[in-house]
Amino acid sequence: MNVFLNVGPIFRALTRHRFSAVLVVFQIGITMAIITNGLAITWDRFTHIERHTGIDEQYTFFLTSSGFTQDFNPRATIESDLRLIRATDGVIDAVQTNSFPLSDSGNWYELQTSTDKDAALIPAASYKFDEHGINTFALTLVAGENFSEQDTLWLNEADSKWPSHVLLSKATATALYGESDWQSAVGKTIYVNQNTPIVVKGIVEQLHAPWVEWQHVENSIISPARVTHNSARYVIRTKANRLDDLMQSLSATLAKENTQRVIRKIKSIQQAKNEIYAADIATVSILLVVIVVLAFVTAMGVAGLASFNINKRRQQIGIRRALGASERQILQHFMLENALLCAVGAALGVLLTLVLNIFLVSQYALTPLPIVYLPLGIFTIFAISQLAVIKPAVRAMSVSPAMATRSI
Amino acid sequence: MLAMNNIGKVFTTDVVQTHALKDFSLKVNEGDFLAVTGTSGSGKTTFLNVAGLLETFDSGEYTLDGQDIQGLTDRQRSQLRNEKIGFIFQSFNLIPDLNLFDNVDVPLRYRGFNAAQRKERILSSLERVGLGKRLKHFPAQLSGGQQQRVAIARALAGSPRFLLADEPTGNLDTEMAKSVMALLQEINQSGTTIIMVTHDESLAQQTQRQIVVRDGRVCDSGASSTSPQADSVQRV
Repeated sequence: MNVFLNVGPIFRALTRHRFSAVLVVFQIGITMAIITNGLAITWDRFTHIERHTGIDEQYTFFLTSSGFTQDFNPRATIESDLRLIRATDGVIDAVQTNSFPLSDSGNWYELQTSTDKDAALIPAASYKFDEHGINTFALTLVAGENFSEQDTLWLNEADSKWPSHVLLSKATATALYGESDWQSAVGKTIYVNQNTPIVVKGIVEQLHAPWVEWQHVENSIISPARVTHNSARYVIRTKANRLDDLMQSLSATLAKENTQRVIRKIKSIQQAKNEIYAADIATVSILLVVIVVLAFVTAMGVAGLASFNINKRRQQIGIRRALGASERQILQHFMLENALLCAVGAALGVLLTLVLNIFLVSQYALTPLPIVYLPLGIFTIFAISQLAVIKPAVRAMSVSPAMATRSI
Repeated sequence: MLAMNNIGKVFTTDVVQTHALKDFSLKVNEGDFLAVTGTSGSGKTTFLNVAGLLETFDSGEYTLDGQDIQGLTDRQRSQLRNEKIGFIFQSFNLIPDLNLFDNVDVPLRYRGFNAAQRKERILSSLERVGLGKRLKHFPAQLSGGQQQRVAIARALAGSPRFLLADEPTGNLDTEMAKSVMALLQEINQSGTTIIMVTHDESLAQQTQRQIVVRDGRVCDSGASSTSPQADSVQRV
């Protein structure tokens, strides 16, 4: 027997108990609206946290060397530190840099393909490091070539001078020259802040800006430069499993090497990432707990009501069995009855999901719900609801047909 | 047609074993109208449950329409029950949330008839019991006699070979009981075998044959005194 043929009588019977049916439908609808929006927000935040910055996040750390004496020589210290760090066993490479992805500090400039006032202004985060940067950050050069040692300038902190050559992230090149022509950026002159011409020497696959929430996070420009300043920030990439010991030993060695400065702010990129995303991680965790608790409460509600209905209808089940229903058909009856309630609840849930999403988007500037979340929400609520009703339905299945001849 | 040989049925709880049926033997032929009487607790309902495949039995042999019942799966028993047996219960046992049409439809859906076949059978069986114009009514909107007629219509809709009735007039007043009994006799005359459990001796005497159950055994069996074939009740 086709189980779906029973939809009509089951639906008509449900309309005789509107109050309990409406309660379940509302519970399912509200749960679906919260779970669907919650899942969308959770996934959005999760992908935000997990997105690749373009650098080796696992085996990279940074530290700051801050000189504090009158006769502290920043340039000599940087040169000597870099020689020492790069020669240390377990270090893959190191650079002194003004900033790095996930650092939440740095500056950005506007780039153009011409000085024409109407040319589009493309914002890009500015990084300054020498030719070792590609290797230190584990960047992938996808067009052109890396800097040479001769390209690298020494700049003072207040110096606004630009080197003659730069590297761009692929996203920046694409923003400047278009999706199909980004590779053509190599060798061309671009303009910084509408006036400074520089030539693009190469393009890296990806290098995020330092600010994780920045709208143009994929855009970056790399200048071959070292900035002399009393505080110098070094980024160091280590071989696998050497991160922890080198974080300790290198900071101690550097401190011992030059007593006119202190070594501070020693952190792995992963630690920096955890700190910068702490609020997002908390949001995701809380939302996941809410989703699980709500799903559990709804499942309990559905199971409770199904149990109540089944207990109330034990003799009716016995009658159905006496009239020829097999155990499997009784199971199917209650699963179908629940599926019908769930279908109506899911229809209401779709409406409530959209209403809730419009509210969240307008109040908290969240992204609109991708349409794929609606079938996902419907599937989730069906799965929760049908799983919840299995146990009571199995109990119904075990009601003896002899129940029909017993007086209750 | 229906043959039970030394059937035994024991109900066991933590503290006691009750032999509901002991060496219960009975043969019912096609077209019989059999009344089963006995005191409360004698085993009448257990016999009806076993005969109607509502309960299993622990020992003995039972064949229904030539088919050995022992060892059948739940699905086979359900199918046999659905195809060959109609039930009429003392408290009617209609499903209160379904209208008359849907109530009569229940066994037909389990049987797998298509919509047109079901509709034809439902209308004809409800017409037969005089309720053809009340398809959309719910059981609570009918009198007890009418509800029992709906139950009879439901039992007949699948054209069963056997009709098992458990105190079919037990909840009806005298007039309604008479009309239900007349309907059962008409059904029997059209060829359906009926086994009716009853306390009411006067009803039992309107059947062709009567057995008395005591302590889980058939203790008296014979033609009913008022039936055309009746001349005695024999002790077995």
